[in-house]
Amino acid sequence: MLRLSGLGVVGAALAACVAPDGASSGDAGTAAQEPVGIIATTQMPVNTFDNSIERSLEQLPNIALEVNANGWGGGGWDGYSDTLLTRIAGGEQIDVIMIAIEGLGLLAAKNVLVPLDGFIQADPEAEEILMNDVHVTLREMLQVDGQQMEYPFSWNNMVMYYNTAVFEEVGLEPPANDWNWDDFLEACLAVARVTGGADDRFAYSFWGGGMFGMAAWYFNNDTSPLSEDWLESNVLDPKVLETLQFLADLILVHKVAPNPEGWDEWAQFHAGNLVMRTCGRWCIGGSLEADFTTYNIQYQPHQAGPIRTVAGTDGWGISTSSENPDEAWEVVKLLSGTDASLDMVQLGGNIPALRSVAEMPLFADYGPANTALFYETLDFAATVPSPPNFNAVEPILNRNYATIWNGEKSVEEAMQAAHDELVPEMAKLQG
Amino acid sequence: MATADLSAPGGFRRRFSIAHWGIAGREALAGYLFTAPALIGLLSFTALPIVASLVLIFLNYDLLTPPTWASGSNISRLFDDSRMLIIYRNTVQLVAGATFLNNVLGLLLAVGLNRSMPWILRYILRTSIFFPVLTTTASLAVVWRFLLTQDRGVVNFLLGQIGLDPVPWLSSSRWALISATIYDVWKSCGFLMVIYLAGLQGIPVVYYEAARIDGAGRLQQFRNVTLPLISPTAFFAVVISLIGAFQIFDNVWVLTSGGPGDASRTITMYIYEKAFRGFEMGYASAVSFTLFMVLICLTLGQFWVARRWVHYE
Amino acid sequence: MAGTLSSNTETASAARRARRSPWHYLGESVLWALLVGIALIEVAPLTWMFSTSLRDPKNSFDLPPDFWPTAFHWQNYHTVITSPDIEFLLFFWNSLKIALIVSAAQLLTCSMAGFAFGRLQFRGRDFLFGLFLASLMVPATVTLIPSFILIKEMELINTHWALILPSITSAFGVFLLRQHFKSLPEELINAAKIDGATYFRIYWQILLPLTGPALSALGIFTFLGSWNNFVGPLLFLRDWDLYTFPIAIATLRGYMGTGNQSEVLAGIMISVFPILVFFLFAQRWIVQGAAITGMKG
Repeated sequence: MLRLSGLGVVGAALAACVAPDGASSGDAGTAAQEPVGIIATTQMPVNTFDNSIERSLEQLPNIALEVNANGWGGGGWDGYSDTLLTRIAGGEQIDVIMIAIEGLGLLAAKNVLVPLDGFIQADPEAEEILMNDVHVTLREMLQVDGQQMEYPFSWNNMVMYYNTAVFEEVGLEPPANDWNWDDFLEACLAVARVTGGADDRFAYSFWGGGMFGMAAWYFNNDTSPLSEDWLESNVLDPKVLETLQFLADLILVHKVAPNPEGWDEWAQFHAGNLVMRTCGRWCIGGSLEADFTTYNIQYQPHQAGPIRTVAGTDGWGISTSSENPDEAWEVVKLLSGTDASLDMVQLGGNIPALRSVAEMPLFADYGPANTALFYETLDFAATVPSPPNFNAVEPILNRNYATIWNGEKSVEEAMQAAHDELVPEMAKLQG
Repeated sequence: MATADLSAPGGFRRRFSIAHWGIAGREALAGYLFTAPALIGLLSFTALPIVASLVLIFLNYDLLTPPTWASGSNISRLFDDSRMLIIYRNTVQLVAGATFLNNVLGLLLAVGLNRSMPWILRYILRTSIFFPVLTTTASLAVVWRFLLTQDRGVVNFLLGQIGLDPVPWLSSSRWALISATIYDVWKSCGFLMVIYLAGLQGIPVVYYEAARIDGAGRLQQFRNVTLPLISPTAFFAVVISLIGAFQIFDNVWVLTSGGPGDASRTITMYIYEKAFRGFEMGYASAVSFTLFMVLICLTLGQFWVARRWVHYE
Repeated sequence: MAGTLSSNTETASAARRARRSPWHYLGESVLWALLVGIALIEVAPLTWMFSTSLRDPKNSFDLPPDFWPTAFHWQNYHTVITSPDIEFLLFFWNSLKIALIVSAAQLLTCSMAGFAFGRLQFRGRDFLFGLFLASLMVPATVTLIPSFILIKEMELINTHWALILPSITSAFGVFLLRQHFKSLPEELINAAKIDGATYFRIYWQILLPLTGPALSALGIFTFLGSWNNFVGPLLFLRDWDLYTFPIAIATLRGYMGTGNQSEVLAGIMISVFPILVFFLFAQRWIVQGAAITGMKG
């Protein structure tokens, strides 16, 4: 029933997209003029939108669309936001911006994004899709002070990827969906084979830092590195320390995890030198490319509190510096539509924000057996901590995590140091 | 005859130009015109920025919103910034280590190469040692990062083959800077070698012959002839390697990203991060000004050293 | 007779040995070990890179490492070259273009200023030259932030001009060439002046051809600096199709993100290979050029 109504909405949206809407057909006179140049920027591989650009030629003849890549600046979302801000500060034309929740606060605080509410209210189809085909969690995640700053396009959670061939080889059952940290550690000890030789095999590796990767662990222990409102440091919480200790022990005590610095998780996973990793759906892309198929996914192992999964959403928004916001809005709709979502799904990218697309059989085709899991988690998903000063917070945490993984500082010492750095940084938000 | 022919046009020209400028004036005009392009470049991309950064120190500016007056807060913040000390310590350690090793190794390699040997051997050795100089620092740092990874890394595997424990090259505070130094020496010692080689070849053979007649052995020749006569070259080589080492950025950016913690963050990287990741242009300018001061002191020190120790013929 | 001869040589070599050993042999073997050892260390990462770039991507991280190719998976090179998003040939061209323009500009501006400072008399000359000398002490980092603002105000961000303009001259080059112009014989200039040559002719036709070695030295220095420039492109370039090699490769690691080490290495090989070929042919010239900066410093 739900599925059907979802498809109906997609049908309507498709129709709306294919048929030139009132505004553009009425402007036949202007269409003959120079098309308006709209530049969109994204963190995704730009070829994700090659087909969308083709479509824009037909559907938006008055717009010359260009999609370019915004570099990661040598980091995660912190580097991405910084690069983007430097570009805008440099006076570059950027009309449409893809940003995820992690960088949304910063961009909003710097007044880089135009609230979309006006556009949405004037556009019943877009509003219909946003209200009915996009999960409320995803929609609200991209709001700042009740205003919709970005139109959701895709999202991710974190699940456990595991090598099914190795599990079979050592005689392990596939993990159950309610496995806990003890079960996980047991599996790690069973699959690891680390002697310092050429055939070393590590059980698990995880991003040594990264708010998203770490939150996947914290959330399953009922804690978070920041307070609920993201305004204060929470890194001295015993449960934070416990989580870090568990991960540090994987490296330093049990020696089943490599030091993350310089370790290439992708290649080692595909080569069978790494058995488990935590990642979102985007990791499917690399495995598709490498023809690696002997893997499956499961929820992150759980420790305490309610079952929660971390989620982060990205979307398309309009830059305050755009001289053609109306055309930019047309591009936002095009780039977050069903076709663009399908293109992304087929390249093994993120989970589409449109439920109708996630429920298509095609979504499951491009992934491991358990792919349905990706979308299912949404009902108990919690947002990755994303304060407006995310670009300052993430590097502070990463720097201090690194001193735990290499065994130089105890978890307590490192988090005390992180706390001391976070306190003045977070105080800036309240002031 | 010759004088008449030659002086006629010259005389005419001179008389013509004297009427307007005079010889000195004409020469001065030429002087200004010839220096103008370089001077414009210098003024706009070095002098103006220095003045501007002096102003920036007293502002809070994030590039996106108009600057506000900060008075002395950026300067006083320097003294509260506990990371600065660590980062300067790293920088000094990296600069000292890289300069020392590059020069010692460069000189030894040059001495080794400056002896009689089949040309093909000399060609192979010189090519092998110099070639990394021509590769791009950032690209080869990517390669070295692969080599130095702790677990399943190439270098640690080779160490394991001879019975040594794996070394946390990139992930430990003790080794991260050493790895950056090793990479810099790998990348640059060939350049120093070539400079020293030219210096050695510039030493007249008669000095060595004289020393040999006096009964000096190889080592004594090196100490009494080579070292003093190579000192101008060495001075130059040390100065350029110091300047180069203070600006090491891409090396650590790719190898360790400055980590773990701040263990391999250099001052250049810190300035870049404060400016273009934290968008604190004022504070970043204050930090960069400290580097300016350090380098001025260093340069003055170098000239003092040069006056005392460098032998010009 | 044979006896005397041999005893002669023996005494001679004995005398030499008495003077040289054992330090001589120790020194010799240390130098040889150092030369060969360092040469191997310098080359090994490059041969490893080449060998690994030819491995099947799935095996790129396999141990033991190869320092000589054992697999020949040329497909990696094909993938990299034909990849629609990572246009290596374009990056190569960008790097080359910028390095050539910057080198040419510096050769011109520095030699002109070097000529004026070394050969002409004019009021303020020493002051102006002092300015250049002083700016030798200023590290690029210090001027980075204001330069960014300046380039931004000139609306040159995301253009190659942002990399070219700040490098059209260098204090080091002015200094180097002034020394060279100064060292040329005075008679040349006097003769030319008597001939009634203009200053431009004296500079361009008479003196400049004689500064060849210094020019090539500066050219190489500048070319390498520009070829290696990392911070500039990192700061000023945004579009992939404007990227230069160093920044493209550093980004490639994260961008490809799928850990295909062999392909990343194939990309780097492609960037290294033309330099290697050029170097093998022009080694003498490059080495001499690099060396001359040291002799005249």
